[in-house]
Order: sequence, then structure tokens, then C-alpha cells
Amino acid sequence: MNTKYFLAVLLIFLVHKSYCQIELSSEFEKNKLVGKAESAVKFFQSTLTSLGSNSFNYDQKQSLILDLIKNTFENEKVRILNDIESQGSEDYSIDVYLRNILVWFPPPKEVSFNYKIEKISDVYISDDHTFSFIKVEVSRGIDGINNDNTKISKSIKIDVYVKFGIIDGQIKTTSRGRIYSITKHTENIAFKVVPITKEGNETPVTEAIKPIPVIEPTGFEAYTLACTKLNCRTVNFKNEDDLYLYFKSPNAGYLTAFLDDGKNCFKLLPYSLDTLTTNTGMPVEALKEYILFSTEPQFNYNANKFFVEDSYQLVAETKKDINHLFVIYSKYPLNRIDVRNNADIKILSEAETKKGYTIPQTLSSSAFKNWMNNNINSAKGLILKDIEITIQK
Amino acid sequence: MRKIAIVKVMIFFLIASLSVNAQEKQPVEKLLGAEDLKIFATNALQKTKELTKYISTITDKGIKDNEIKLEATDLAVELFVSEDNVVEVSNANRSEVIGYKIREYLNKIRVLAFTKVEITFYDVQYISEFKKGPDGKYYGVITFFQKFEGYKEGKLVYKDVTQKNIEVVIDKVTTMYGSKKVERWNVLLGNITVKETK
Repeated sequence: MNTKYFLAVLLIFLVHKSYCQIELSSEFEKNKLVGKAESAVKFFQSTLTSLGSNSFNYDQKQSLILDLIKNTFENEKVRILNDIESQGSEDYSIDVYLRNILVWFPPPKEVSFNYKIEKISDVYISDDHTFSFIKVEVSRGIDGINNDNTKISKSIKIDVYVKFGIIDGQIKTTSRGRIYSITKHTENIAFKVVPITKEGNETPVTEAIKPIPVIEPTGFEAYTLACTKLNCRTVNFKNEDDLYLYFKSPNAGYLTAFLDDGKNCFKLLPYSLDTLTTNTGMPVEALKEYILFSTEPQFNYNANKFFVEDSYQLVAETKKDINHLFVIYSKYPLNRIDVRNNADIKILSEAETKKGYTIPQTLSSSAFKNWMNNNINSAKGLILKDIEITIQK
Repeated sequence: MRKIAIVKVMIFFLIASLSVNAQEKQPVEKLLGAEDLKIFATNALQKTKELTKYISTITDKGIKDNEIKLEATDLAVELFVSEDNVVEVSNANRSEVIGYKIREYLNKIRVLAFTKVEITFYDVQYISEFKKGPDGKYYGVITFFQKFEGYKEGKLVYKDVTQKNIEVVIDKVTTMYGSKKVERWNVLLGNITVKETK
């Protein structure tokens, strides 16, 4: 009897523990998830704007729909409130909702979507503890004339629910948030908030994400170009020359690049519009040749067909400027290897921390060198290449 | 002792499953009330209005991009249970009724010789009890009036009003409010048959 009683108590304890152990280790982690939820909503809204506009043709709009569903929604069956047509169903699957925009507002008709994020919730946990989620309250205005020549003009408040997976009892803070429901705004639904265990003393990244075993990468090839052809390889640029970077690695991994002009250092990679790779570095495939900083379609390595890369023109301030292009290759996502606390060593600005960045976006040259010495040079699994370039007037 | 324990456990599960079945059946009884039928008719009306909107795009001669019309056709077909559903078509000038598969019907109206076509559905009402099928969905028939107007160069050249029956299938869809699931009924359209043409 005693053994049975003990086993029963143990079982209750284990079930209770498995339900209780889901938590966030810091406010920083929470902000990171909030930032991801905000990005998912912004991406969704910007795609709606493109779908309602005549700047894109039908094929481009179809690509945008596929891209949006693949990258931002849980699947194509996600239910979404019908706010585009007063006569239709209460809600649609996201797939039908987006396609309806194409056929109910055919060219030359257009429909515009304006939005404002009103409130972003805490991180919640589902009742069955299988996923965590964030509720984003959005005020949305819709304005257009549909295929019946009826003017659609209304404002509505919607709730966008963004989901984050849980693996081994931990919220996946490194993965993208996925929208899994969009409903009419509803107040007073009580959800369970995920507790934050170590508020105030957090060390972002180290505490939140377990460092993984590091395999030393074997090296990579990277050099600067003045045009997108390989015979334009150079380190001696003239004023107003374009800057491109050639990259090829024997291993798949993640790429980050900075340009140091002696005073300030600017993050060049991942690209500024690629918010999904901001903290990981740009994913690169093994043995693939990359020409970076070009907006030509053949050098678009993003899943989004219409992604716009950052491009650069070098400008000399003196007769001969010397700059350094730092190319950092990481075998694993940088935020899983870069185990130092960038907030503590004052590398990240307050705004960068707030946005959930772990890699600095722009900083002084001296601060960058400090960051490199503290984090990059000493970290295993990273290779740094310093390319010195000159720009002549 | 061991056997008794097993029997007790089995009895417990039997009672538990009976109580679950009873809970499942409860909303079914409620479902067949007049209020629910009204909801079904409303949902069916919404679907027919969606069909009307797709037909507006399909038949709009001002839309030059055929891809958009084909997309509208696909979306309209998705309102139906399957591609095999049939739409019966009549004409005020002849007594013959012809049946087309839904996609074939939509393709036909896309290339009609009118410069503008307006098809509207109204007075949607249920006419039969909804019966639960073995798949858990509900099946019934609703009736509605369809007004067809064909224009050439802005002038109305053909008009008819047809009373039609439509089979509808009612299924459940789930909307998530955070982690709370809310189930609602969703109507899918079936065969459309002609009752009378004026």
C-alpha cells in the first residue's frame, strides 16, 4: 500500500512539475518573443498592403501569398476574421482570405490596409501546456472599392495570436512566431502568463539558450568585389565604387559582416530587412557561392522572391581611406554560440536591447573591437576574416 | 483479486464513455432546434453571397487578367463539397433543364456572350430537416431564388428568376481564441437543382 501510495504521489508530483516548469528565464527573453510576435504581425500587414495594391501583378501576388503563409502562419488552414467583406462568412482560412483580396478587388480596383499595433500581451501558455502564445491587439482600417463597386471603408480591432513552440519543457525563443488565429478583438479572456524566473539578473542568451557543442569549422573564402563578376575582385576601391562580397564555405553555417571605417562600425549582414536572421546571422549553404550586397534577382538568397538586399557605395572622406570589412562565419546560429552578455559590456544600445537584438547593429569602432575581443575572438566555432580595403578619391 | 480490479476498471471506463457519449449527444439534440436551423440558413445565405461575388469577378468583362477569373473559379468551387457537384441551369425561353458540374458551369458563365452578367441569390430558406450523417456532418436542403440578368452594351437583354434547391452540408470549424477553442458550424454547398423558372 505504501509503495502504491508513494507511486501515486510521485506521479502527481511529476505531472505537476511538468506543468509548472515552463517559464522564461529573463525579461530579455520575453522581449525577444514580443519582438518576434510584432515582426510576424508587421510582415502580415505589409503583405496585405502589397496584395491590395496594383504595384504587383497577379503572379507576384500569388508568390507573396505563398511566402506569407509559409513563413508567418502555422498553416494555410488558420482561421482569420473576415474583415474585408460584410456579406461573407464570419471567418475564412488564411489561404482563402488572401485569395479573396485578389478576386474581390481586381485591378484597377485597389484596397488599402492601415494598421496600428495597440497592445502586445505577456507571453501566455496554452491550457494543455503544448505551446506558448502572444496576443497582439491591432486597430485596422480598410479602404477600397470591391468588384460590386461597393465602397468598403471600415475600422476594426482584431486580435492576432502568435504561437511559439515548446520543446523539452522550454519555449523555443530562437524560432519564429507563427500566427495561428486572427479573431475579432475580445476583452476579458483570461490566459495563464508564463512566469519570468530571474528578472533583473538575466544574462541574455547564456541563461536562455543552452550552448551547444561546438565543432570547429574548417575555413571559408571571402573577398571584396567592385562589381558582381569574380574578375572584379579588389581591395583597392575608387570613390563611389560599389561594394560586393564574395563568400563560399565548405560548411553550412551563418554569416555576419561589419564594416569599420575607423570611427564607426556598421552591421552589413544579415541584411537589415531580414528580421528573421537578425540574431542568428545569414544562413549559408555548404559550397554555395554567394555574391552579397547586390539587389539583382539572381543574387537574392532569401525565401522571399521580392526581398530587397542592402547595397553599398564606398565614399572616401580623405584622399585615401582605410576601412575594414569583418566577415564572421559561425557553424551554428550566432545567438547560440555568442555566449557573452552583450548588454553587460555595453555593446547593445538601449533601443537594440529593447528590440531583442543580440548582435549590435551599429557602434563605435572601439566598442566593436571590444566586442570582438570579448566575444568573437574567444568563441569556439567562429572564424573571423578581416579584409582591409582602401578607398581613393 | 486481480480479476476484480480489472472488471472494476472496465466498468469505470464503460460509465465514463457513456457519460462522454451523453455529453456529445446533448448539443445534437439542441442543434436540431429552430434557432440552429436559422443559423444554418444564415450560413448558407452567406455562402451563396460569396458565390455571387466570385461570379461577379468571373463574369466581369472589364477584368482582362484571366488568371484572376480562374482564381475566382477555384475559390467558388471550394465553396462546394466536391468538384462533382452539379448545377442545373434552366432558361425562361425553353423548358429543358441541363446539369453541369460546378467548374463547367462557372467556365460557361465566364464566356457568356453578355457584356455584363449579374447573378443574385435571395430568400434563402431551409426546407428539410438536417440529418446527421455517419461522418458527423449534417445534411439538408435549402431553397432560394436566383435572379439572372444579362446585359449587352449596358442594356438588359435577358432576365429570369429561378427557384432552386441546394443541398448543404454542415461541418464544424474551430477558431482559436488564445488557447480556447470555439467551434462553429460551416456550410458547404452541394448539388443545385432547378425547381421553377419564371
